[in-house]
Amino acid sequence: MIKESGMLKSFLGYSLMVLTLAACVTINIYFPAAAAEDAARTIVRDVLGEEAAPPENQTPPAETQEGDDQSSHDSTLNKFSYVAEAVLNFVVPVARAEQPNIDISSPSIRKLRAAMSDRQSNLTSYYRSGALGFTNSGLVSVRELKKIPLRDRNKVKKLVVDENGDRKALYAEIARANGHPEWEKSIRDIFARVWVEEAPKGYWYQNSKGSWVNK
Amino acid sequence: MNSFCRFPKPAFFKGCLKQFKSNARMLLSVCFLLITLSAAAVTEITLTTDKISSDDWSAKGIRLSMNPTAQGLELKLNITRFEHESLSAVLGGIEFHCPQLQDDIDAYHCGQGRLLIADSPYGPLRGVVRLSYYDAENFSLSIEDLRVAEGVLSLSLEMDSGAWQLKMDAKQLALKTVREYLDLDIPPKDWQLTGELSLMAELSGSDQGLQRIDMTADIAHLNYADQEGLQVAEDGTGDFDVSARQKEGVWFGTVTANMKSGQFYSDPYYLDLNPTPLHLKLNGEWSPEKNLVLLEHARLDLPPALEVEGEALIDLSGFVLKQAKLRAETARLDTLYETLLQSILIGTMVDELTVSGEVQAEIELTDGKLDQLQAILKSVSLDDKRGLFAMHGLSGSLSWSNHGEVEASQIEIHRGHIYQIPYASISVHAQAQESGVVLLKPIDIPLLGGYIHIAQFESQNLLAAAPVWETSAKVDNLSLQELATAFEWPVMSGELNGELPSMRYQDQTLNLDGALLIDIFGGRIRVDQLVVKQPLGRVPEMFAAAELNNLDLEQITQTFSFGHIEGGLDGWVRGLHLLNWEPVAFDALFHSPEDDDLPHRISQRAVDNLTSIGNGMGSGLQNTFLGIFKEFRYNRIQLSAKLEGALAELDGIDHPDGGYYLVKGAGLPRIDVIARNRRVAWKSLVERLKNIRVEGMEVR
Repeated sequence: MIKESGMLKSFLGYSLMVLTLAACVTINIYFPAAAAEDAARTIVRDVLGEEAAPPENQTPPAETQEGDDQSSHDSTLNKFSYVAEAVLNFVVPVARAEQPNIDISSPSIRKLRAAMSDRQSNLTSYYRSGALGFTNSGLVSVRELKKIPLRDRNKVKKLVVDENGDRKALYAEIARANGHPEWEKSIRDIFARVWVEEAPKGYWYQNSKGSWVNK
Repeated sequence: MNSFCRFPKPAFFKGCLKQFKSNARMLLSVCFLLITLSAAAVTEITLTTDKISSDDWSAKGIRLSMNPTAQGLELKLNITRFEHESLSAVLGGIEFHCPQLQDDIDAYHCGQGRLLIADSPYGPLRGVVRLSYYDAENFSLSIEDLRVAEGVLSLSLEMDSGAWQLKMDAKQLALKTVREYLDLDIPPKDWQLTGELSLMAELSGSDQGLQRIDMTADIAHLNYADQEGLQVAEDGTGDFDVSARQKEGVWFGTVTANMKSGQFYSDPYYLDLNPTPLHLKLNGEWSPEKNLVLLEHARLDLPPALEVEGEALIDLSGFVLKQAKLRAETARLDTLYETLLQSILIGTMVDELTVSGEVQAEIELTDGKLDQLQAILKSVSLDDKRGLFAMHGLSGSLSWSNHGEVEASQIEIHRGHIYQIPYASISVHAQAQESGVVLLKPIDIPLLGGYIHIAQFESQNLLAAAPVWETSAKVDNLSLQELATAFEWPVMSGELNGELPSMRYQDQTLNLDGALLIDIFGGRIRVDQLVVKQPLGRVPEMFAAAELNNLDLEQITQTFSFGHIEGGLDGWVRGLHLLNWEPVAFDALFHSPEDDDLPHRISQRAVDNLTSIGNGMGSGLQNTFLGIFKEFRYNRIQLSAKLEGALAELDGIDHPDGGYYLVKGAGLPRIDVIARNRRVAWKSLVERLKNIRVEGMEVR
């Protein structure tokens, strides 16, 4: 019985190791988080234009740094998994080397970016006043309706609906244009973080708990 | 509770009057006694007592002093503290001074009394009091210039054998304070509220309670806002008239409201009344017992956008429109759209239109839901600002009902366009059903020199968020020349025909069964497996397959100025996927037909262009001795292209040394176009196509 129990333990141990390795593979090979982040930053800076925070002033919010980036290590990984990951990376270094770039040059993406850039100047003053904010799902939301003059409210609501329509289409199209529609959620998560990081001081954003924070 | 008087409840008037009469009776009896004493040469009498009380009131620190004068009796009454069950708070520091209480034959008069209540929930109250007292059932009392709620209030009460009349004249009362004093919840107490209320009111009744109200009120500088900013008024100005009579527990009357200026926002509606005031007139009856309002006639004017009139039954307990029959009319659909409609259409396909025209409608509602609709449209135009569609000269009648037989609807559309494709006059004869429409006559849509013939149309949830419709269509003789003109393509000739036995729109996706047959370039292209997702959406998506038969390359190359190629062309395109009308995936093969009867010739320029598609550079033929030949014979042309993601995989006829023929030459001088690269970035391929400059055409 003792022997069987030991075998069971080692089987479970190996199973755990395999599962952990598999998890590492998923994280590091399939979704090019760094490239996606670069792509997101390029687009966000382009859309925000002069509003984008200068690089030296970027102060990424703390809550977006942990657990959001799929390229970072999962917080549950322990020393064992680090070793396993190192072994895996030694065995399959090509997988990392073959990470694809993120293509953001498709006509649809260009069209969506252009529409968002054109719209930006109409939204800026509302971002600055705190009437609008960046949500934690990579969209824009009316944060404080009271700060929008009555006569402008429906105009701003339409801008928000249009902006969100373009943003959703953009995230889906980037995933699709790169041959992985299933990346949409990951791309959206990265954008959600990058919008906040690139936003200038004074903009409002929603933290991971859904509370509004003034940057 | 914070109320001084629970104002609109008739019981209050009854209770207050009863109390007033009993108190007045006591007070005046004392006065009477003292006047009698004064007649007995008493110079001044002062009575003091710590407390007088009855079941529902108590007074403390009472001091009554009387001083007979030549003009009458001077009376002073001081009460330190007064409580009454109908008052929410204690009154303190009460001083009443009547310099001349005159004794008439059967009455006592005080013409210039002064009242001061130093401590009241409404702040210090000060006013001039006039009193004529005959008996407990007959007296008049007025209090003038009472400083209350940051304004001035004058009250006058006449009692005449049990009937009473109360007149109020209020000037510039602060609305917020009035709301607080009267413990009103209109607007709710947590809303910000400022503004001034002036009113003239006459209320009359008897021991049975309030019988009649006539009131004119003016509101100025009205501002209110709820916490979220969903209900807001800014600088509103208006006047109201209320005239109502009570009979057997039911109130009959008229309410009119003229909102003259200000901005109002009631999410999502925004009204700027500065250029266009709002008039509302309601005539009907209110049963407090049933909590029902029956509006026999209601009229709302919001010029020039809207006029509405009709009848309605409203259940006040849940503010439900139990039954309503309304007639609405607009001569300025543009203003109505911008003022009211656009705000509720944000996020839909019709939230960015240029609108004009006139509409008259009759609407019936039951329990808050649309029951029946009849509308007449006159010269209505709907033009999408994004250029996706337009309908001009829309006229006719629309009928809809959710029960019973419905009249036929007939709509004529003078002209319009879908994308850049214009269409001419369309006539629609249809019958609305509960959630859809059935065609009574087939529709012919004249466009591109031909017709799209729609024989039947079925729909569900047409007005809901997820409409479903199905139709069949026959496409008849559409001119490719006109299509090319509409899309600014190179001039081409040919016809587009087709049978689409089923076109089904569901989940924002249009699925087309059947095939479109495009007779073009001397041959035929058959397009089928058509699916269009979000056809008028932000990023339209289309899927299709196509088969090419016996196209004439000479006509194709003439059209696109590609160079000159003679010969036939067969082929197919499978798995075509367009996103925003750009190809993102397909698998295609184009080749010379196996038994092609046409001569096979290719010009030097065409060779050059084909070569540049293959490798991004021209052939440079003109720089070789072959440059002296303008045309070459060929055996076969073949190109396959498979696009997946960003990469296109190209192929042709296998070449023994690797690579593949795009053009396999024949005869002498023989020329073969052999490509080596099989995988090419789609972006590069498109660039190469763009670089083939063709006259009159832009490759996008």
